[in-house]
Formats: sequence, C-alpha cells, structure tokens
Amino acid sequence: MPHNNHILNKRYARALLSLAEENNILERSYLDMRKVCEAFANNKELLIILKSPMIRTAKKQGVLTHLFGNILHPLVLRYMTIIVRKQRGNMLDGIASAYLIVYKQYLGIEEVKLTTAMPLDEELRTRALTAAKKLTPHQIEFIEEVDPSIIGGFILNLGEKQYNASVKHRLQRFKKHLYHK
Amino acid sequence: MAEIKPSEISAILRQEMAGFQMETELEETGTVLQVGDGIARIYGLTNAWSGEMIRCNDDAMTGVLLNLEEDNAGIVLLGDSRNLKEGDLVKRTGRIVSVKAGEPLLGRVVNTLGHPIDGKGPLEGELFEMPLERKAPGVIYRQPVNEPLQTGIKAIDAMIPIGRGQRELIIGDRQTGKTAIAIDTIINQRSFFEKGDPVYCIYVAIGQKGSTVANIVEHLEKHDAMKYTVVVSATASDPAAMQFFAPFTGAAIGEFFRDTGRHALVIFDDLSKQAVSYREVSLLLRRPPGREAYPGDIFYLHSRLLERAAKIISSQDIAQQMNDIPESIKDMVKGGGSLTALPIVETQAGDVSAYIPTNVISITDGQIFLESNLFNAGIRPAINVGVSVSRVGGNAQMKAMKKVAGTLKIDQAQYRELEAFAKFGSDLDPTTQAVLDKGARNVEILKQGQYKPLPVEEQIILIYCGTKGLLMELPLNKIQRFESEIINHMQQKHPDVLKSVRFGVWDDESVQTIEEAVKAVIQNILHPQKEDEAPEIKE
Repeated sequence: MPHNNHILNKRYARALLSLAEENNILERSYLDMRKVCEAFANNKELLIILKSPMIRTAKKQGVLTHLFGNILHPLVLRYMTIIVRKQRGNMLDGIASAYLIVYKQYLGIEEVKLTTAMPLDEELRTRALTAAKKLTPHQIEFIEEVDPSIIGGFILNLGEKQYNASVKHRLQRFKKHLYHK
Repeated sequence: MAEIKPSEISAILRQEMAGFQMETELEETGTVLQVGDGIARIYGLTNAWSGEMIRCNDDAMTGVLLNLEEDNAGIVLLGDSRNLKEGDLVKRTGRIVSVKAGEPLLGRVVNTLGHPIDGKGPLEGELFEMPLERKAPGVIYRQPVNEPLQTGIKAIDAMIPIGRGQRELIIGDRQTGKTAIAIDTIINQRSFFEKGDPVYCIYVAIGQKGSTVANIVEHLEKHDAMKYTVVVSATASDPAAMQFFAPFTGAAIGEFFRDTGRHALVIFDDLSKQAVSYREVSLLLRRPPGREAYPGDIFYLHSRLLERAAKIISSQDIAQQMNDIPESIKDMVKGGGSLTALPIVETQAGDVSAYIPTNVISITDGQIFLESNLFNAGIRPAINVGVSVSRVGGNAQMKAMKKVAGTLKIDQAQYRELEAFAKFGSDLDPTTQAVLDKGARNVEILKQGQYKPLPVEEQIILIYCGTKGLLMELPLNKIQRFESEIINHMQQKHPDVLKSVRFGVWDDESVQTIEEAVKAVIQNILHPQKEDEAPEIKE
C-alpha cells in the first residue's frame, strides 16, 4: 500500500505536473511515473531502502540513479533525487501513484476497468471499448482484468462508479432475496 | 413429516426467481485506505452524504459515514473491523442508517441495528423502517404536556411529577438506585397495558455488562412487563459505534409508537457511557477534542436525541403534516401520541458540575437527583428532594394528587434544613418540634421497596396521611406497618372510595371515609385487641 498522506502526496505530484508541462514532457512523465509505480509494486526492497533511516541519502540517490538512470527522463529522475534529499524518500511510492491520478484529472482522462472471468477476444474488446466510450464524455483509459472468481458476466468500473453484472454478484443478490423474504 | 417432491421445490424456486429483479444498477464505490479501531478511511465515495449507510464486503457489515474530508471519508464500522481489509471495495447505499420498528419488537431484546439477540428467532410481523437520525417534530406539531406518566413511586409522583412527553433526567452516583427507578416505572405501566391504554417502554442499555442486561430482562419478565417492553442492548463489548448509536435506535422505536398516536417511554441507561463511546469514536476520527476531551458536538448529540421526546398535538389534521415523517409510516400517522424520555447520567462522587451532567441537566425538563448518603441511611428511593425538580410535569399531575401533595415538597425542604440544626440543640420550641416530627413521618411514608410500584390512588391516600399530620401519634417504626394495613383496610372495606380516587374524585365524603379508616387502623396498631394478637406460645 502506498504511503497514505494523500494531501502531501498530491501536493508533490502537482509540483511535478506543472514542471512537466513547462518542459513539454507531460506524456513522457506519465509513462515514467507508471514505470516507477510498477517498480515499487514489484520490489518491496526498494521502498524498504528508501524508508530506512540507516542508509545515507547519497546512497539512496545512487540506488535511484542506477535503477532508473537509463529509463526515466532526466527531469523526472532529478525530481526524485530531490525528494530523497529532502527526506521524503519514504513517500515516493505514494507520490508516484498520486501523480497518475493528478495527471488523469488534469487531462480529463477517465479510467475504465473491465473485469471478466475469461480474457477478452478482439471482437469483444472493440465492442466493450465502444460501449465504454459512450458512458463518458471524457477520454478513457481502458484496463482489462481477468478474475475467474466472478464466474461469468462482467464488472465495469468507471471512476468510482461500478456496474456489476457478474454471475457471482447476481447469485449473491438472489441469496439475499431468498433470506429476506 | 410430509414428503417433499423435488418438482415442488423447483416450482417454488422458479416462483421466487420470477419476482427477483435481475437488473443491476450503477453503484458508487470507494476503496479502503486504512482500517482499525472500529473506523475505516475510504478513498472515493465522493458523492456520499454524511450519515449515510455504507455497505462493506458485500453486505457482510455496514458502516456509517461520519467524516467527509478533502481527500478521504471516515466511516465507523458497526461490526468487527477485522472483517475489512485495506483495498476492499465499499459501496454507497443512498440510505441513512435505520432500524425496523413495530409491534413485533415488543418482548424482545435487540441490538443497535434492530436485530434480535435474545435467541427467540426472527421478528415476525409487520415492521416499518425508521431512521436513526431524524429531526424532532417542529413547534406547531407539539402540545404542552397534559397527561401524567405514573412512575408508581410515591416520592416522584407526589413531588416531581412526570408528564407524558417530558424529558426527566435521573442523575446520581453509582449504586444509588437510578436503574431501579427506571425499571419500577416500566413495571408500573403494566396496569395501563392491561387496561388497554398502554405506555410502550423501551429500555436502552448502553455499555453495561451483558449479565446486568440479562438480569434486568429477567426481572421484567418476572413482573410480566416484557409484553409491552423492548430492550435495546449495546453491551460494553460491542463496538463503540454500536454503543453511541443505541439511544438513537431506542428513540427511533419510540417514535414509531409516538407517531402512530400511542404513548411510549424510552429510558437511556446511561448517557454518560454513551458520551464516552462517542468521544472514543470522535478522537479516532481525529476530530478536535474540547472540554474533558469530549468533541465539540457532544451537546448537540444529546440535545437532538432528547428533543425527539415530545407530546404530539391531538389535532389529526395538523399531526399528519408533521415534518420528516418516514415514508414507511406516512399513512399511519395519528395525533395525540407521546414519547417520554428518562435519560440516566452517572456522576462521579456527586459532582453535578462535570461536563456531561451539566449539559444533560440543561437539556432536560427537570432532574431526579439521587444521593448515596441518603441511600446508605436507608432512605430509598434516595431522592434528594431539595434539588430535584420537574419543570413541566406539574401541569400533568392529577388534581387529587396536586391537592394532597401540594405542600409536601416545601415541607420536606424545611424539614431537611431544621434537621441539621436540631442535631446540635436539645431544646426546641413546639413549632419546630412539630415540623421535625411531621417531616420524619413523611420521610418514612416516602420510602418504598424495589419492584413495588403503587397505584396512584394508594399513593394519594398515604401522602394525605402524611401531609395532614394524621400519623403524629404513631411511632416512626410503626409507619411501614401502618402503610400496608391501611391499604389492606381500604381495599377490603372501601373499594369504592379507592376507585373514585383513582378517577380523580377528592370530595369531603371520601376524605371523611379515609380519615375514619386511618383512625381505626392507628387505633388497632397502638392498642391491639386481644383476638387480633397472635396466640402466645407457653412453655
């Protein structure tokens, strides 16, 4: 779970956003931050290093440069080293995930997540995409997830709204219907 | 047992399926950021209202949204917080927290959510959804208190009368008989229930031991009082949120009776424990603490709760337009109902100037103050007459009782004052001595055992004997005996007088009958005739 001081996370994220806009690297910064998020999600050790007060700041900065030096835009990397220098390295994961939210908010992109029991085939995907585009006037980012536990049907998440048409949910509702008769 | 055919089962299932809505609707969701200590912080739920019920884990648990902050929402969980994890999805319901109220609740013990916890199976019969938080009836839908609520306790009905729709605080240290007064009042409503004019009782136990609640229920059952009583229990082991919502559940159940034109009595035992659990939740939600670390809205918490006790106007047309009537009882609203509240507050070492006691004293229409030194001196109920008041109940008191007990309160206050002096001086003038003698006898008369509420006509007769000074020749230790004998005498020889007094008749004729009866009984106690005496056993 990312660091959960949301007000602080967003504040740092907004700083990067305006910096990225000035330097015309909005899209690049977003992709970079997604990579950072993935890195944090896949490597618990990375956060442990950044959180540890035993490890000196210079070492932490070195780790970041080694890891991300070739992948990230230099500006994004410098931004991250500044945060570490200011003793906020422990928040880096939270800032990265907050950046994704702030970025989408800024550009008016809405996240649409479709959960199905089986992977979508090409035809279904295009149908789902066109259907999702009708739901919102905003630009959308389409995410697919496969979760066999829903048995069948689909769950559509649009921002914080959810349209649950899974077989599992229907069975649960039917059970409740029988109980409360 | 009859055989069940599989075909029948599938037919029934198909029937059930037919009535089941398969449509799914758009739901609004949020994710759990943090959970612990009975509260959870949620990301999302941007459209949710304060006070809205939130479903967690597909209805396994409910929560109530209390804090709306810039970047998250704080909810309190009405259940075990271990059932919820970080990252779980929670959903809006669009409904405010509510309980199902109705006649089937009578005789049952339920928790804060209105679910039975007495092991007697599910509630059967028609239930109506009542919101826990509801605005109290406005000024035009109310009327002044005009009917008495008989507690069956002499000291209260005579000196601190309570009217239906009043809020009377019962305050005192631990072990001074606060709950006893409440329970006796419930028991005393039995005769009204049997007569077909019931006062439905709701006893809300907040933060008490489970064994204490079980004990109370047992006593109520023993006195046949559960038939018209609902017990709402949030014991000390329940989550703090369940404890501080419990009085609201009691009020919601009471409102069902009140708004359908009936009388109800709700007892909150006790509000100091409720305030403590509200403080706990508030501090966990990081609301700023104020005096004694209670949150700033603790006064509002109690005032909005007690404001719901009311006497509804008897005009049917106006009552039907009452504000904030729940949808479920919209066409059942009747005027003339009432909800009386008896909140209980526990003080520490008699300190009524602490935060919660002063608050609740100022909200209520009077208080019954119980003292431990009176209790220990054997004066039970241990009511301190001097500081106990009822600000509105006097209007509702029965005419006969008012006439008889009019001076009792002042007499007793005077007696208390003189008593302190008399402890030092030995020579007293006759007037002082008379006040002291009469006062001491009145104190004896006002004593009353637990679970022994008296009907109003018997109370009137006993208090008449005291205030009129008919017992001056009787020694103090014979008063208890006199009480039972005069009641017996009246029941056997003059049942008609008792009956007319019950209906408020207090004329010269009945007074004369009573005085003669009193004289006869006193005579009998002081100079017993031979045949009345128990035969002596000779060795």
